Amino acid sequence: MPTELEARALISENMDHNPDFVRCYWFPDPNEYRLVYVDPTLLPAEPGHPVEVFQMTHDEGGKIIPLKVGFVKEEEAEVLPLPDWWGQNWDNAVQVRRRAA
Amino acid sequence: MGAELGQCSAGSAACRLNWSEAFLRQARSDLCVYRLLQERGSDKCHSIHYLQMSGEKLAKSETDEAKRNMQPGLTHYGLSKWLRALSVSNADSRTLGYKSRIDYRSAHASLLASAAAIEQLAPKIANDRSKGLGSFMHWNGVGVNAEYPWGRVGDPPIAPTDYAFGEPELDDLRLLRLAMLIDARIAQKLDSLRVLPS
Repeated sequence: MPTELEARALISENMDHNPDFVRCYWFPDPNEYRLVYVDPTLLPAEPGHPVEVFQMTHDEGGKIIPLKVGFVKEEEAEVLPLPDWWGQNWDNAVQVRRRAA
Repeated sequence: MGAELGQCSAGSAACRLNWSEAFLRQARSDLCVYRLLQERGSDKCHSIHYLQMSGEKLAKSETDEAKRNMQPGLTHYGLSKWLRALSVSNADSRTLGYKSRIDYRSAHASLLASAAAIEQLAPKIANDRSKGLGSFMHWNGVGVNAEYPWGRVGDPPIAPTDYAFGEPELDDLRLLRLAMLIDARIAQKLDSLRVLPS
């Protein structure tokens, strides 16, 4: 299970390399990373659609862990519905903010 | 005689596709048209249009919905989000030939800018921009798009066929690099499906 420490490390690393990400919602899950990044530079989501989630993978020292990742604009965070199968709501997420420079 | 509406006219294997595979196959087909148009020196609006469609379908094929064999949402703007998703995955960026995420990210900014630019050329977004409902660096307040003529009130309309699409993000070499990434990912995903037991 990805621990909070591992999730925070992954998110921080991604934020270091993606200057447009302002924060991330980490949804704890026993089997996979579930992340929704907030990026103000995105085009707005089309009305009525939930957060679009991509299936990727994360290599953690040779162990491949599923990575589900979505992206939202600031005003869509905690507003856009999550996919039906997500089984969690925004309140379940831990917010990880960008480290101070 | 052609197939009945809703039936598959291809071989039986194609009729057993799941949603992810179906989008991958269509993404590959769209990319073939992009290449043909490039080779024949067609107007740039058409090659941009097919590259955008190919990227959009590849992005849909990698959504969780498609991989759960559900029809992905009918949104048009997945390509740049998909590029972002690729950038946060060390495993996936490595399989595309990038030695590390840092290596991928050095190319990422340019790819992302081009993807964002061609997404802006979808008619709906262009229409929103022309009405002041959105903005984008070069075309703020103007309906530049790859499919339909546009024009400001009182000015003569411009057809996409007559527009150069010469903005830096739409430079031919940059679009070619984006097409190569899309092509590599489609090939990789289709290959991985082929090795699965039937």
